Amino acid sequence: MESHSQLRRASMEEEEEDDRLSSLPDELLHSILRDLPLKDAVRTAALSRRWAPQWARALAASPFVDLAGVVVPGSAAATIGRCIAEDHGGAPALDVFRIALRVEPPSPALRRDIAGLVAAAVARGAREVDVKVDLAPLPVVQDEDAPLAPPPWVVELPGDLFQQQQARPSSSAARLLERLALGRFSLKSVPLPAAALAGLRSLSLSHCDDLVEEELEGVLASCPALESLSLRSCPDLTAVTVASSRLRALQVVGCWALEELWVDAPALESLTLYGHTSYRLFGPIVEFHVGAAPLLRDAYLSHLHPGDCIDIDHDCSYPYLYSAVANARILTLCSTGWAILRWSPVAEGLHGPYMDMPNLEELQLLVDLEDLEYQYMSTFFLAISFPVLQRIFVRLRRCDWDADSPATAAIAWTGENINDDESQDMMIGGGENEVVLDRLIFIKIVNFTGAWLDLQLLSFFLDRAPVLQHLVLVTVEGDEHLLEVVQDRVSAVLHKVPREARVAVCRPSGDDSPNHAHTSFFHEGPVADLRGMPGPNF
Amino acid sequence: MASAGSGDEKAAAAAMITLISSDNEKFEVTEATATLSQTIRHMIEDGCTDGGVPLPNVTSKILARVIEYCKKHATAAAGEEGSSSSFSDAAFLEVDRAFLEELEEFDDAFLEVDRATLFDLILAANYLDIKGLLNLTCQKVADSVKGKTPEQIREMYNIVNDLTPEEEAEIRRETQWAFE
Repeated sequence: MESHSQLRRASMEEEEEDDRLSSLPDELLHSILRDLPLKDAVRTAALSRRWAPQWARALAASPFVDLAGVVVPGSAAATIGRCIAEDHGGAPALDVFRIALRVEPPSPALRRDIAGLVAAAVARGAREVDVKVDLAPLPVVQDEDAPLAPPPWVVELPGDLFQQQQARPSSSAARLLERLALGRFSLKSVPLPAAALAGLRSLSLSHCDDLVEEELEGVLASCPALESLSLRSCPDLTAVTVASSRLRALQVVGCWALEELWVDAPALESLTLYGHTSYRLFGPIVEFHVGAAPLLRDAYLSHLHPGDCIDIDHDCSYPYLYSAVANARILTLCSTGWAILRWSPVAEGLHGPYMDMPNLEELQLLVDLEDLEYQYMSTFFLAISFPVLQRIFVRLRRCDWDADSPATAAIAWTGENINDDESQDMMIGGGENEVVLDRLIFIKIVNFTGAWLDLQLLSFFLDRAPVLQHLVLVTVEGDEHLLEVVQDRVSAVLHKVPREARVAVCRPSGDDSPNHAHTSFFHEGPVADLRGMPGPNF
Repeated sequence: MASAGSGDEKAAAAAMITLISSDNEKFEVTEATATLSQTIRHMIEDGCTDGGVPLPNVTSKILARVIEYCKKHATAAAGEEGSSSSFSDAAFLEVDRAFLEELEEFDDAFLEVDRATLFDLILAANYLDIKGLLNLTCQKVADSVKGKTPEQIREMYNIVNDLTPEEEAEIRRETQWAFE
């Protein structure tokens, strides 16, 4: 054995002289490059001749390319497209290709590059293709007359994209596309139905600005095996018709022009709808036709949006929608929704707008309205029976905490501003002895400020929860003072909590309690995601 | 954990494998430890390990480190298999988490080596086909490169830039977005 000093000297000399990194075989360089973020990997091309082609080869040789977690500049699309398209001699077929591109500024050349990228991934036989294009946020315009929506910018998909199935000789058995997610694309040039979509199990289209009903129908007719469909922020879509015995998950989110939704999907397990209520100001009625879905497990129905307006006299179809989800185990419902239920006339074929929810275990309430709607909420609980409800999550409207603001001081801590006698009665007196949620073990209220209405709400649930085990109140993120204030305010109602129950009052950062199954809140999404929608705030 | 581990050791005690380094040093290891290397696993399956397994590409110094890694991770693998049936879920998860943390600490400490050793470990892991060790060591190199400019990387690893200024400018122009 060599002595220690000899070894050390040898290794130090080596370190000074040899380029051990560049001497590694290609496959090991590729392993290292694949462990790097894309930008870092690409920069290694400037190291030396040995390194110049390696990152592209590493990318091309990888069956799993996931660049969706980072924002890749649109200008990279051309280079990445070439890497994917090139045959680097026996590279394995591409399996998964995901990328999120940020386009800034939009240009026609970029459209071509990005379309080429999708085509290359499909041509390589990828089973999953997920390409989302994001526009850089527009500068905030103060001028009220300025157009609210950004100019439409979509990438037109090549006409032959889904026509021939993987002409590549090296991919043996023809593999069909199974999962396709496209953000900011146009299907105008794609002939439908498209043969290559026959194996599609999951389809997601977002920000497809010119997608219209007929195109969607054509696409859906091309994929008989579809199990999951997501349509998000497609502003020209006025009607969605889905008839499928295979479909298990449906999501229609932020499609503000929607007037009709026809769903005939007996195998449906999950339904997510975020959009206008049955009626909107200056707009047509939205008709919901959701057929029987006996397997429905979870539903998210939210209509919170600053542009919404409820017309209480309107003959709306909301109760049909609600009755379709009455058997769910997991439900998210917003305050606009229960306000509509409250004011709906008795719908034909139903005993009333309310139906019992015999299976509901987890209920999440998104609350974004004023005092009157608390009253609707109490009606909701009085009129509907929840025999197995175990967990309630309430998400209050997020308001900025400003202890010095006179408005906060006046409105927040007293009930004086509530002049509606009926509302006071409903909240404080109304039927609290009639309803008992005798399986309810967990209550969590988020964005809790301890304001008068917040306390009324908490009190309402505590009066009906004799076996509560765990209460969590999460404040808004703010100064330390807030937490103390909330703790102080809450102490007035805590005597209603069963003695053995745990109580936690904490900030969002200190909350490690369970969350509802639905953790995305579309009405709280980033403004960039909501651009193009009507409404005063956007 | 302990019972599962000893059961495994009992089974493996019958099958010890001798590994022979390039400088002719012999290492006796259990089959469970040795078979973390796919290369050796195949040799065992083919029945050609009698009289020891010569590893002409691996020095005794590096082989000792590799065996240290394999021993630790073989115990981990045995623990995973054994405990899933013998512990209740909650207890298992608790033990599991503690063990994973310990393993992570071991890996971190294991990587505290000079650069030459790191490259020797990469090459040995590649030759012996030990996936976990290869991932671990390659990630270590990747982490050292992350966020660095080409100039910094060249200096760090003594890479000679043989690109002409024109070639380098062309590369930087083509992939300008990566240099911003």
